[in-house]
Amino acid sequence: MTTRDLKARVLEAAHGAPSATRGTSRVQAWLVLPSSVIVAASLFFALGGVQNGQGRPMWFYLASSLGWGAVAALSTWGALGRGASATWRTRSILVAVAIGTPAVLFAMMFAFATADPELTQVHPERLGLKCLGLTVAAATFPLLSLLAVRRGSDPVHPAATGAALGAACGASAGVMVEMWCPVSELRHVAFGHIAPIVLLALVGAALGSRVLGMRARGRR
Amino acid sequence: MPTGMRGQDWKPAADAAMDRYACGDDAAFAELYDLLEPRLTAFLLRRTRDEGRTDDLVQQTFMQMHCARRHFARGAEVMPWAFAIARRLLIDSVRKGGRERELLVDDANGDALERPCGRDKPDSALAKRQLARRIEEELERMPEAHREAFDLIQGDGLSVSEAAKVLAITPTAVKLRAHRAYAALRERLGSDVHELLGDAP
Repeated sequence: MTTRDLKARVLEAAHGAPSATRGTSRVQAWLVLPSSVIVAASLFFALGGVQNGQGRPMWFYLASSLGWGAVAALSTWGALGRGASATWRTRSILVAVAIGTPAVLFAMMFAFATADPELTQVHPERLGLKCLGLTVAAATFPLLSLLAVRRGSDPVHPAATGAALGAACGASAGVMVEMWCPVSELRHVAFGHIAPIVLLALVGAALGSRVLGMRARGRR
Repeated sequence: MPTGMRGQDWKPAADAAMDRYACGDDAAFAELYDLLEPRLTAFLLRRTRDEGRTDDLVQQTFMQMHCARRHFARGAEVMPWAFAIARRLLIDSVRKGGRERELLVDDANGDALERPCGRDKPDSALAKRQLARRIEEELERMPEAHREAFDLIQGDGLSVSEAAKVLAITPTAVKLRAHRAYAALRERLGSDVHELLGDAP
């Protein structure tokens, strides 16, 4: 095949398969943010809202909510941002986001519990199934939406990107759960608040490798 | 003609064409094709040694770029992105075909790392060809990560920063890997390596 033939084939194939432009993609990406907030807020208020989270000192309520919010924001920036690069973040940054997010959050909650051991005496019998379910429920929509918006975009490390997105969505949903849940006992925190982030990172990695990657197709 | 651009002149033009294409200017795709196709073909042909497969992979690379144009960031460099896509498709095609690694195979028609030596005497040219072949053999024995970094810089002429984007690792990691490959070659093949390849990255 000559170079000219190949060029004609490529241009013809591209002409026959219209693709979205940057403007379309940007609108879709921005729609994910308010939609995710609406979904999480609906769950939050449907289950009792701030009232449900009472019973803890105000300093703890504010510090833990702000701490989760800061970690979630950093994690989201690490997973979603890319600067002026077409190949996204490096693998080491994405892996650091996926592993570091739950680790940092647990360390923060451990530090709070150490600072005020009485905090761990509120409902220590609760295992955390509701919190786990609520985190997964609130994170599923943004995770699936972001994977859909970014489908076929990562030629290098789609699984790592998916894992980072999963951890970021889990941490963001966890802000709402942290404001809602009155329990600070460490086993509860580990199972109900941290485990879903790890789970979402694993699900993100599995889905990311299938959805985000660029795969070879059959001969045309 | 864009394909006639020398040195690094074509890169800003390619970046601008891809940027326009990502924004919806369909006419920019043909311009982008003219600028990238020779580089992509050389990149893939060096690894497949098969013109048919190379054509197929070039076509698929451009189609993936077309389908993913919305993801191309403003101000990004298109070449590392295109090479990263081509590399991914090549790896997939090798895996799908059930073939073992067939990159950088020895080739009687000339080695990829061999520099033009038109002014060399026949003995010298033969020695260089043999050395290049030994380098290829030694590269085959190296860890894949070291070989890839070395090959993108020495074989494909990418800068450290561009190779880092293709492999999605830091420039420091690329330098380290390429340097280790170079050091291993020099340890096994002696100082002649320096004559053929120049300075270590």
